[in-house]
Amino acid sequence: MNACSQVVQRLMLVLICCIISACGNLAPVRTFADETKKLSAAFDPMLTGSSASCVEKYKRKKLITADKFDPEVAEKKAKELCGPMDDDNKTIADLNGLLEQYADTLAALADEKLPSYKTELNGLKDSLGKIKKPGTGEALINADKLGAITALTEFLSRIATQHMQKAAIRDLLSHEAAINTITTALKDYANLNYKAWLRDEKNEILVLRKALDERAAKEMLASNYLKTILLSEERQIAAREKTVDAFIKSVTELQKSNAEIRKKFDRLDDKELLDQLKQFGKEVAALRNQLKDAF
Amino acid sequence: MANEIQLPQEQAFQVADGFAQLSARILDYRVTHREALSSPERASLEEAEDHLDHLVVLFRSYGIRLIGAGAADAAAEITAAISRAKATIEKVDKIKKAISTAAAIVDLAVAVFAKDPKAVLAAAKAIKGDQA
Repeated sequence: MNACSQVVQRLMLVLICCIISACGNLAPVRTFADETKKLSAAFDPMLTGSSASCVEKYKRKKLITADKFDPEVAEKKAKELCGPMDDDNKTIADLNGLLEQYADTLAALADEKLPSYKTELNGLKDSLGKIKKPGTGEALINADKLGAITALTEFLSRIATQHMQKAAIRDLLSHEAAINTITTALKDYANLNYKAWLRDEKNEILVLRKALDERAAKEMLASNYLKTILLSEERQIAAREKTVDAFIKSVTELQKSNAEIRKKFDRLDDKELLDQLKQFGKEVAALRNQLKDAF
Repeated sequence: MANEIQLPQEQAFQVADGFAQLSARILDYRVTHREALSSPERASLEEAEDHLDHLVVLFRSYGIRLIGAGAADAAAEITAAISRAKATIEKVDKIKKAISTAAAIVDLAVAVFAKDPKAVLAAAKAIKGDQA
C-alpha cells in the first residue's frame, strides 16, 4: 500500500468518525428524558399527600375541638370522608405513570448502545475467522479483509439503525401537544387540588391555635404540647407548598424544553437548546431538594 | 375542546374552596364562642362543618375527574406513540439477535466440517440460545 492510499484511508476514517459522532449525539434527548423521569417521580408524593392532608386535617380538628373525642372513631370517619378521593387519584396516577413510561422509552431510544452492533459483529468475525481453506490450516478470509468487512458492516448498519432511531425519537417528540396536556393536568392537580388542601390545613391551624389559647388556663401542659405539634406541622405544610411551586416551575421548563428539542432536533448541539435543558435540570434539582424537606 | 373543559374544572375547585372557607368560618365561630354556646348548639355547628367538609371532598374529587377526562385523548395518543417506539427498539434487537445467530451457524458449519462432535453440540446449543 503506497503512502497516498494510506493518507486517503486515514481521511476516510476521520470522515466516518465525524459522521458517526454527528449522528450519534443524542445526549440532549437523554438529558430531557432523564429530567422528565425525575419530575414524574417527584409528583408521586403529591398524590398520596392529598388524601393524607384530608385525613390529617379532619383528625387534627376533632382532636382539638370535638366535645367528645375518640381517636379510633375519628380515624375511621376521616377515612370514610377522604376515601372517595383515592379512586379519582388513580386516573391522575395513571397519567403520571404514562409520563414516566414516555421518558423511559425516549431514554431507551436515545441510548448510544442501541445502534451499535460491535459486540454481535465481533462474534461473527471470530466465527468467520475460524473457517479454513480446505486441506490447509490457512484461514479462508485473512484477518485484514475480515476486519475491513466487519468494520464496514458495522458502519452501514449503524447508519441505517441511527436513521431508524432518529425517526422513532422524532415521532415521540412530535406528540408535544399531548405531553403538554398531560403535564398541565399534573400541574393543575398539584395547584388546584393539593395546594388547596394544604391551604385549608394552614388556615385551620390558625383557628385551632385560638382554641388552644382559650384552653391554656385550664390545661396548660396539653395546650403547650399541642401548640408545639401544630408549629412543626405548620412548617411541614409550608415546605409542601413550596414543593408545589417548584413542581409548577419544573413543568413550565419541561414544556419549554419539549418545544425546543422538537424544533432543534436536527441541530441538537444548539446553544439555546442546551441552555434550556440546563434550566430544566436546575428547576428539577431544586424540586428534588425541596421534596426532601417536605416529606 | 381544552377551553370547554377548563372552565368547569376551575369552577369545581372554586366551589370546593368556597365550602372549605365556610367550614373554617363556622369552626372559628364555634371555637371563639365556645363558652357562650350550649352543647347541642356546638354539636350542630360541628355537624354543619362535617357536611361542608364532605362537600369539599366531593367537589375536589369531581375536579380531579375533570382533569383526568381532559387529558384522556392525550393519554391515548401517548400510549400509541410509546408502543410504536417500542416496536423500533424490538426491531433493532431482532437484527442483533440475527447477527449472533449467523455467527453461531458459521461455528456449527466449521465444527461439522472439522468433524468435532463436541464443538458441533456446543454450536448447536448456541443457535438454540440465540433464537430463544
